[in-house]
Amino acid sequence: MKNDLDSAIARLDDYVRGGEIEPDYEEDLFARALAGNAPELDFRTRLENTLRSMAKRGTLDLWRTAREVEELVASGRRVRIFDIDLANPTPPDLSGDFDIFVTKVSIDLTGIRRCDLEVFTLDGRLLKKIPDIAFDPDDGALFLCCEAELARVSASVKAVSRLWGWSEDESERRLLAEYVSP
Amino acid sequence: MTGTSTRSSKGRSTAIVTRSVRCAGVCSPRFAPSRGGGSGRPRPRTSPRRHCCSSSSRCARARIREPERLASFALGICRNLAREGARVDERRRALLEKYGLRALLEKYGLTESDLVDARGPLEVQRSHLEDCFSQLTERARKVIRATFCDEESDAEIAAAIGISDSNVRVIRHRSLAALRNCLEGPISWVQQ
Repeated sequence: MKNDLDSAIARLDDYVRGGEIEPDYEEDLFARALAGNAPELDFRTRLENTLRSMAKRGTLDLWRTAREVEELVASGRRVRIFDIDLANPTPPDLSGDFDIFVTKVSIDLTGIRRCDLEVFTLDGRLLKKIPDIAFDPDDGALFLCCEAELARVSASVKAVSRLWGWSEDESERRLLAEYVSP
Repeated sequence: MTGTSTRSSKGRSTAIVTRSVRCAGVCSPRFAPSRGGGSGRPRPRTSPRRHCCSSSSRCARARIREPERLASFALGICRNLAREGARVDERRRALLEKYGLRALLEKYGLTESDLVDARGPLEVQRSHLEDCFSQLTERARKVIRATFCDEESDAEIAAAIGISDSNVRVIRHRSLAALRNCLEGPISWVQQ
């Protein structure tokens, strides 16, 4: 997956973080930026701006604890919470205006150290894997928070989601829940 | 802009970054202390024009105290130059002089008309980044967040996570490549 742009992004990272760089690097970077030929600079700037704005909005981390969700609601943002019923799934209500969509997945997390989520197409192809889900075992639930737009996109796709839990010593992985979008 | 700013924790003054931009073209009369491996002593006053970065190694040595602020600032300067220039040539010229970037144009054989008008969005699509960011490991997410949102140094990140500085760098490079690759494609949910 490594390509020239990735190398340029890595060199730029070394530069801005104070690592070793070639003597001519700074001048070359600015010259290319002036000519609109510094895609790594463009990428880094846009990424940084977006990460910061998302962190401020509270949507950078997809998985939250119950206390963090309460804080999100208290922040005044338009938060819609959907309590998903894994046994009898129904489509979420995504109508109207809201900023952040929270899906509450009630589940017993006793003895679970780590959770991963895998999302597959209906024909079994892996769409994405979300590792290291953050949770508080005392909540008895996972809370998936996302921007309204991402909620609408994901709800429009037929998929199978499998939630895996790792035991305390990480020696065993077991299926905690499977959800087929209605 | 005299370049006499002191380090602040979050809100940084533009004096610091302006100094570095001058360094990129026409060196600042006062250099900031070098970072990482340098002595940390302020560099001596020099004639701003005479010590133009003809010696690029000098330029590298004279890097600013907070270079992490430079990247977005540099792009911002270039965008502003192009935008202002599109409206009023005089203002473009003034900005070029102000930030000492004319020398760079000349060195690389560029003219003012070569400055691109980079009017593209200054952010990536939030929902797409959210989708990509969630696919990073917890450790990678911590490194990216600490780097870009919390402005922590590699040493601080390394101490918080319990790994070495060099590992922080490697994780960040891999994570940036993963995010770049993910953001180039469609959002994962629609890859049917």
